[in-house]
Amino acid sequence: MRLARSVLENMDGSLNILAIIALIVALAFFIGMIIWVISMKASTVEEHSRLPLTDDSGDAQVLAETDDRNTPNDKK
Amino acid sequence: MELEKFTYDNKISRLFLNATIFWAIVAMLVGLLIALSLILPQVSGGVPYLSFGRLRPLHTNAAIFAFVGNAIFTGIYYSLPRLLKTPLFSEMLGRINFWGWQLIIVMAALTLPFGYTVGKEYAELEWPIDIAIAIVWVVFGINLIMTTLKRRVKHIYVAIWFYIATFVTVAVLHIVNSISFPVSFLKSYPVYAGVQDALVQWWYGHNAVAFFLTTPFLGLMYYFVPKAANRPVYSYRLSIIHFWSLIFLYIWAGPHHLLYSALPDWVQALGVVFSVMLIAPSWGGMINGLLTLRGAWDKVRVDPVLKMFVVGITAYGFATFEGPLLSLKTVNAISHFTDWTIAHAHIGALGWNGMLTFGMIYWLLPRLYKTKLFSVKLANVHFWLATTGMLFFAIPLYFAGITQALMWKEFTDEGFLRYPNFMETVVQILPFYHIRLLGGLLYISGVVVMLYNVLKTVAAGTFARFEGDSAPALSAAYPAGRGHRLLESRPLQFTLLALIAILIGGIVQFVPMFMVKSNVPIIESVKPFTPLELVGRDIYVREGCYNCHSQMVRPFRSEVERYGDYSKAGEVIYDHPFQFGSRRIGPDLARAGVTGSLVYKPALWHYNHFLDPQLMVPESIMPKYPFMIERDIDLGITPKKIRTMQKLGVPYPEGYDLTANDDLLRQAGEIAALLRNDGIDIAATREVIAMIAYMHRLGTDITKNTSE
Repeated sequence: MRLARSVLENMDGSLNILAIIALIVALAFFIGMIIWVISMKASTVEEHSRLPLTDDSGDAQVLAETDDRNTPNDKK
Repeated sequence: MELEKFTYDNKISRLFLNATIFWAIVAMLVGLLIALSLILPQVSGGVPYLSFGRLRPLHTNAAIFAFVGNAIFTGIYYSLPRLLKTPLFSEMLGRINFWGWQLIIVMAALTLPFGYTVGKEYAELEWPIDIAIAIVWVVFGINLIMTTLKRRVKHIYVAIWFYIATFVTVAVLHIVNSISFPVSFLKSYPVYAGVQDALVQWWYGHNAVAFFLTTPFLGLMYYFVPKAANRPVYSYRLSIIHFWSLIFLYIWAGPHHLLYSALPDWVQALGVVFSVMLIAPSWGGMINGLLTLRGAWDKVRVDPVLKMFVVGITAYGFATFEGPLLSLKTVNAISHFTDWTIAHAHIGALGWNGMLTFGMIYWLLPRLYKTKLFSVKLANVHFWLATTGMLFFAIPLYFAGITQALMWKEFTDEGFLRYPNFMETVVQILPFYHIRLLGGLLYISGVVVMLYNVLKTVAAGTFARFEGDSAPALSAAYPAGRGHRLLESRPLQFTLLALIAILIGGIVQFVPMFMVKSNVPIIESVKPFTPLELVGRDIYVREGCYNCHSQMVRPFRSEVERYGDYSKAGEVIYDHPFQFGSRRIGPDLARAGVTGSLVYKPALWHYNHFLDPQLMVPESIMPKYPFMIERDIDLGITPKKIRTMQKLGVPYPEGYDLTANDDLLRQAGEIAALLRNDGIDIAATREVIAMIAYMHRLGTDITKNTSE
């Protein structure tokens, strides 16, 4: 603890370096994430995004009664 | 592939849904009452339990943790098993979660009006209740993570990421911010003091907004909007970026609640920068929600569920545009301490949380009760009452906030404050408070309409407790994915990474703040409170004075002229908890003890003012505190208070706990003698004496000569 305190207290101007390192790390993380997300397979993304729509097997009948827009979903 | 059959149990969801509606009405009724008391301060009638300062925390806690909290659990307990194709891990833990949460709410509703409070906004509950919250929250978390572990689908849907981030972050926030030393069963002092306490508190406060009012609702949005529109989310890729950016950035933004305060500049700057960046993920989420309705806009015209979702998500977009705006120092200089903040908060609460909750209830109800909604027309009426109610609530408060801020800052050509009398700026905005009350009335009538609709629907249907479903087992031999797929298919690793993402911001701000001494420059003349002042301070906290009075003079000419020298970090190092406040319904009190300042008042004035504020200031909207004149100070607890303060590092001399009451009585006797000279015969041990002592201490330390 004492070491950390003395390091922090003696940094003064060099604190700027910390800020620049933080900026680079954060930017790298977000750019990496965007590349990662863009490179995801379209079929996988489509499959994942449909997850909420595969769970109404039990109440499909009610949906049909309640309003006409909710038709049972395509089951894979 | 062989399908396994299983059932979902709707009982827990139904319990939480009922509780949501019940607590919505309670929270809003208390809101109406305190809005009324700002127009008619007589409504409290001098009854301690009905004063604004005690009921406002009840309103905020009930709205956030009771209404919104129960809504979160309703949605999570419904969507989680369905998204994971598995029954809930434990119905028993679910029931403990439900009854435990309701017990906590009841305890809050009982303790807050009785003045048991820590005095930190949205974290007012005393330590035994804090422990109960931590336990119930962990019970919820175990159920959440364990259900995720026993799922039948490989991929964990994005809504659940938001649920997991909510669980992890709220646990961290709650525990770190609530650490305190108990004095007695229902009284404690936070371990942090002054600006450090302020930093921790607003790290908590801001992220309670982020991780209690926002992330769980984004999870609900990602489930219920696609369900109601019957189409998948607009962009699943965007949802991934949305999630990680949002949780990483949000945690840094807390210091924007403390701009221009005595908090070091570097922390304020971090708060501003991250708040501005937050607009990107927030709007990413809003766009993702709204565009999910692409191709379904014709349905929005007729379906109250979708209408509510659209207004809710739009309100989210508005509030998250306004948030970064309010974080800019130039804007914050005007908005802070005014009703602008209240308007902003209610766009979020009434618009985003309220509308999404109502939409979810209208969507769930026919499914839980296997029937049609009793009346779509009434749901539409509710939609319009809620929408207009929200607008009638917020718009007048925007006018009120800006009007009052400009009046506070206006100078005459000769260089004097144009409105040196604070009361003038209050009288000016009272008409807006009337319209706000109307807005609140409209909004709550909408909820009453919903209650009727719910009761009729329930009466017409039969509760379908169990629903069957089937899915293939999640094979252990399922080929491992790559990249993010690998990560989110492993909930424990995912939870750990989310935890790291939310810890970084807090650590970067806290560690230097607590370890580097230059962040809180020592002021030689600042001394601990005397025992009588400490008792007065405890009464100040008990009565929730911080709900209307700030103790933070910002370094503006207008504030220095009105209140005195700007506040410094070194002045509040013995303030457990800090009392900066967030709204000036009354004037700032940081320098209330400095003789010769505009805010200084003599003992006799304070006595009469506590007895009947309208006697001293006819237009005042402050509640009466006659009971302070009748009640005696509890002398028995003074030694304990001193010992607790010593444990927290307040430098009272060794053994001072034993003699503290002598000093207390001596100082009280002096104040009582002063009052007697003015013709008021009062015992020295009355609470009002301690309050006067505290008022007269405020802000005086830096005016003293250190050689004294």
